[in-house]
Amino acid sequence: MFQYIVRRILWAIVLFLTITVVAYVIFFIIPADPAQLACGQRASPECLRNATRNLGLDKPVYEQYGKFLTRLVIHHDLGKSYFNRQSVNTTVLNAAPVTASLVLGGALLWMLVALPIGVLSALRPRSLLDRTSMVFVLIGISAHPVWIGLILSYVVGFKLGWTPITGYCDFFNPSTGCGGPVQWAYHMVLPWITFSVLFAALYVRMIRANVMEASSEDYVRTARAKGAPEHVVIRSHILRNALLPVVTMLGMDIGVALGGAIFTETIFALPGLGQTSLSAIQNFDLPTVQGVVVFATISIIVFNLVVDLLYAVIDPRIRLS
Amino acid sequence: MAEKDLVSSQAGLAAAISIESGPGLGEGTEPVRARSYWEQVWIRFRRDKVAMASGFFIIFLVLVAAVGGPIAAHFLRHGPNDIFFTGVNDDLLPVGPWTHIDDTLHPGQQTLLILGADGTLGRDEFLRLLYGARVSLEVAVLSTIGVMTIGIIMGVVAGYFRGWIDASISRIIEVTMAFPALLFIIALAATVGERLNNITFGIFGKGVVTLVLVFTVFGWFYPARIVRSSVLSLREKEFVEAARMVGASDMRIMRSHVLPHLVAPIVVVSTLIVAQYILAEAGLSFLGLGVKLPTPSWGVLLAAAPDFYTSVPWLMLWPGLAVLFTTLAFNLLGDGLRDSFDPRSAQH
Repeated sequence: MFQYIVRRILWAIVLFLTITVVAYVIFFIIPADPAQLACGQRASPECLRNATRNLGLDKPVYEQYGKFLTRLVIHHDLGKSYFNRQSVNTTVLNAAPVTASLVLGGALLWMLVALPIGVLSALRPRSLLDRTSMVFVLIGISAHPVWIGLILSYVVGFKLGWTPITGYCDFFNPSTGCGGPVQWAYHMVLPWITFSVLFAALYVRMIRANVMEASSEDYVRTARAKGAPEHVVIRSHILRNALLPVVTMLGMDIGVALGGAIFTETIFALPGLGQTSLSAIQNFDLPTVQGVVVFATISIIVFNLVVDLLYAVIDPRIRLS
Repeated sequence: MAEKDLVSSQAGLAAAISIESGPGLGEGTEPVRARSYWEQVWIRFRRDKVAMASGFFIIFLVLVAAVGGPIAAHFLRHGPNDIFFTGVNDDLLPVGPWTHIDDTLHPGQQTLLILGADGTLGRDEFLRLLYGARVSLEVAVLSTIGVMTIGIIMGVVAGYFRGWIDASISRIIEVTMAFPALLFIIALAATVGERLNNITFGIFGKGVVTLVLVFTVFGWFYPARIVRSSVLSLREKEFVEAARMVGASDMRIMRSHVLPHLVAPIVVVSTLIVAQYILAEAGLSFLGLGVKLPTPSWGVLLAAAPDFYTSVPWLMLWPGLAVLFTTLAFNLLGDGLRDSFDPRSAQH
């Protein structure tokens, strides 16, 4: 168990280093001249000289990366925006709660939908529920999330007027015109639905397949043969084994979903990380884009690490091996 | 000894029966013909109506993408990038489906916009949808080829050689999987995209090459994992041992003895991956990071729709439906192919 934890943490550190190196190369080596970008279109030679010195561009590449890494790890500093000189930390910390509420709320919603439907359709294969849910799964993985969002906001938000079409309300802070949990949830309903359709479809399919596979195992037949009541068989023999992999999948997919949030944020004008990075790209504001990428990467690595450790706690087989 | 007797007595029973009933037993019935593997797959596939329909739809789509655009452009007498100020009505909104407008290219004549105009520039939405099919399929198919090529090579090498080669390839796979791919794709499109977008090889639209490269770099791990796990079990099979015994080189074993067994998973996975990349192209072009204007693609058309979202809602309907039907067809075809290759998987 201890060895497992140490191995996982070491691997997380390796991942972090690799991803920051790649991010660094993409952002500060590949673009022709960061100093030019930092100074803007009509840069004075003086500004270019200062920028080159301040950004450390006159130093060797590994030294630049080392400086970047020290700043990040020790001072937790993501740098300053080229565009408005604002600290990238502030920008990222303002945007992160928006994305977090979208992703976590969406994940909760897709699990609430996928768990019962997946399990029930696996227990009654070829029933009406099973067939209907399989059709919805196919549509869910084939329709574009962006398109689903546009259609939903047109029909539910514009035509029916049931929900706001765009915008975000802070959960805690009522100072920005609207706020508080009720307004927050009211504004997030459509984004949550849009965000979770694809994953709900994928999870229904995965849970269904897992439960079906577990149902045909020998130990399930043994449990039935020794006279265990059906609900005990389903709960302790089928579901326990079928749903364990779902925990790992959830941990990995929340990372993937963090990227997918960009689409939902764009459609519903939510000021989250995705929107921030997109507008930063349009302004060639590399430190901000990089800040978002690094922050998202760290969250994903930490999230996966937590899930892996949690998995070792709930699955005795990993603890023992 | 007793067991051997039992076996031989049963064999004797069959012989006895055939002697009793004489050689006339098989007369009248057709001789049993061995069916090849591919014949069996085809027979199973032919029975699957949904998969067959999807296959035909995809063939139709490829034809539309290849020649449909130019044919329609010939009859409508304008191209997908021609701008008609007459395609915009007095409220500065694009005209609706099936509208005859004054043809500014041929003065004094009228022309038909079958699905209306695409925006304030008044381009033909129908033609752009047809030409967009070509661009969207180009991105999806080329990305799939790229992803599968790298994935198969990495997977076969890792699974066949095992040891440190497998370990290092597997670590690279794990690192690639941990990358927040979409964020890095956006980052790459933002930094190197500007320069890559100008590479068109004279035949592709702006941005196609960028998308294909970026998708390939971040997507190869998925087929690589599948191929690797198949090869790990294939390399232990007797025919590989036999090939090695007669002195076949590693290269030859991989090419002639391992690869042919991977055709089924490769075909299935490729079909499903094409569907993924059609969605991905639409997504990135929607964000303005994929295919560049004026080249039409389904994502580009979808990106224009929100501007007229309350007044001309059908603009988001057409590209969305095109994407939906195409990905649906590829997904259904992939599922059907999987069931035909491996009938046991259909039982679930």
